[in-house]
Amino acid sequence: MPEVASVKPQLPHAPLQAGTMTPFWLPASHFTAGLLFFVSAAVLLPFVASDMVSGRFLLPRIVALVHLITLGWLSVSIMGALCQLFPVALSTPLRWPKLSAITLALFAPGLLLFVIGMLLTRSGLIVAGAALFGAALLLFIVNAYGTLLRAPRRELTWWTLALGFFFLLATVAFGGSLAGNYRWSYLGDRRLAALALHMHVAMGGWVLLIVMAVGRRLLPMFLLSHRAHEAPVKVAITSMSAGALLLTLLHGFMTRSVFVVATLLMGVAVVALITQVALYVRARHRPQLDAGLRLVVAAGVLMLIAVGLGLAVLLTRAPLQLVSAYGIAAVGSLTLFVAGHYYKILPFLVWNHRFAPLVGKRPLPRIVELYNARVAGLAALGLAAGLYGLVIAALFDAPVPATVAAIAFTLGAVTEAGQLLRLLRTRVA
Amino acid sequence: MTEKTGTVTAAEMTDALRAVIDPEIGLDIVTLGLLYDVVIDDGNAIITFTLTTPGCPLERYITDAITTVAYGQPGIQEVTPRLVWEPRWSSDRIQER
Repeated sequence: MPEVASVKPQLPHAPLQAGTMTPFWLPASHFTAGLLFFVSAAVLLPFVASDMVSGRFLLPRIVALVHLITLGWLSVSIMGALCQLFPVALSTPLRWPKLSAITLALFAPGLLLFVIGMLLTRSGLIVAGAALFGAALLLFIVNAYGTLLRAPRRELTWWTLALGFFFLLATVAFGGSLAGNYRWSYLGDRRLAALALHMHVAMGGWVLLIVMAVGRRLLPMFLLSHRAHEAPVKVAITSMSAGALLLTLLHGFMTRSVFVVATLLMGVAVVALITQVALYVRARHRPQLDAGLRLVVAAGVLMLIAVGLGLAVLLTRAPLQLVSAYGIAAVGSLTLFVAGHYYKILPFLVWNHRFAPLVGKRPLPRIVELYNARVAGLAALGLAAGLYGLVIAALFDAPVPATVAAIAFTLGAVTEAGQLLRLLRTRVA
Repeated sequence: MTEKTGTVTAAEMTDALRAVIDPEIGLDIVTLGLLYDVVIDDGNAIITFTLTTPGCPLERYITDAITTVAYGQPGIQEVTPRLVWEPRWSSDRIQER
């Protein structure tokens, strides 16, 4: 007979009430939009890869691609995931679900307008699109802070999310300034510096801080590695927050020294974050990593490469190809990271809403059985090989290998998106 | 099943609860060490359990699954699932063979 540990239980915390479960359509609509933007970016990539690796990253079509990835893929995915993960991270659900739907309804057409404006170099469309998705992001920030205010406890995750949403606000402000510059050209030779500021606050202060906040809850859950030490993630959060704060608060007085210190702090944060991920992976109970977690590991390695390239850019008279390689590695690593997590979050969403209600009525599949693991593995290989190949092609200014790598990425993205979009439409007979 | 009362024993209930599988991990809640206590009291099953992570999205599913399995056992007329967070679960509690 199995032994049940005779442990004196204490009164439970109040569980989530049934009515607070996030409705399926809310995260599902975000994930659908995210996957479609992902595919759009992936299809565009082979046409711009040679320009990208040759250092012509300020071309409008590359700016369009970057925003398809950073806004359409990364940000929409984060917003969708938070709909589902606020209860895990904060023990409280999203405050205004309907506002979240309005947000997406403004965001998606806004981003489309912006991208079309960039591709056609029509400044009116660029500004209009930026205004729309900027307004949408402001609505999301209101919803996010409204949710934070309801959380029962204010601990490290709470503060990290609060800071992350602040840096999203800063990103919107900096981005608005750059969008306006397309129309009215007021930044002059400060444009490159403004772009660097916008990119680092967006990637570090918004995306990575949210990744750190939620990841310290999610990764131990997926890996059963709750006993891993958490000192590195605390260092990561502190260092990233400090770096992003320096950039944001001193943006009007930016000097090279301040920029170097801020980005070094961010680099330290990334190294600490990867160290924490490595600790979680090492402390895991189950030895096998599925396709999603293998992508997360690939993302971590690429993030470290990005830190090295970033240091090289900071400390040398960096040729444009090196800057391109750094940008590809930085954005690419986040792309892989999110792509990996889709294999955890999306099947879970489908299972919880479609299969969990059938408990006791029929045998239930495991979550991993909802998708084809071999196809997922091939998709992951395409994505990782494509991005790593692009970084190498940039370092050697090799346009043909860049295009080949881009095609590998496209195939991986289309495969992953196809499988996951089909999964979202799963109905139980 | 005991011969005298026809009601499932705590040990038998524990064994039955191995049917509740965590769909993400693929292990049952007994092997995972999520089941803390089972008390059978005059047809009422009081089942004390935890989850791997506070706020776990599977809370409702696992609670429902425990309730469904418990109701299916002989002699059980009422099921009281009790979700607790202390002592905090850790992977050391996994009893995987």
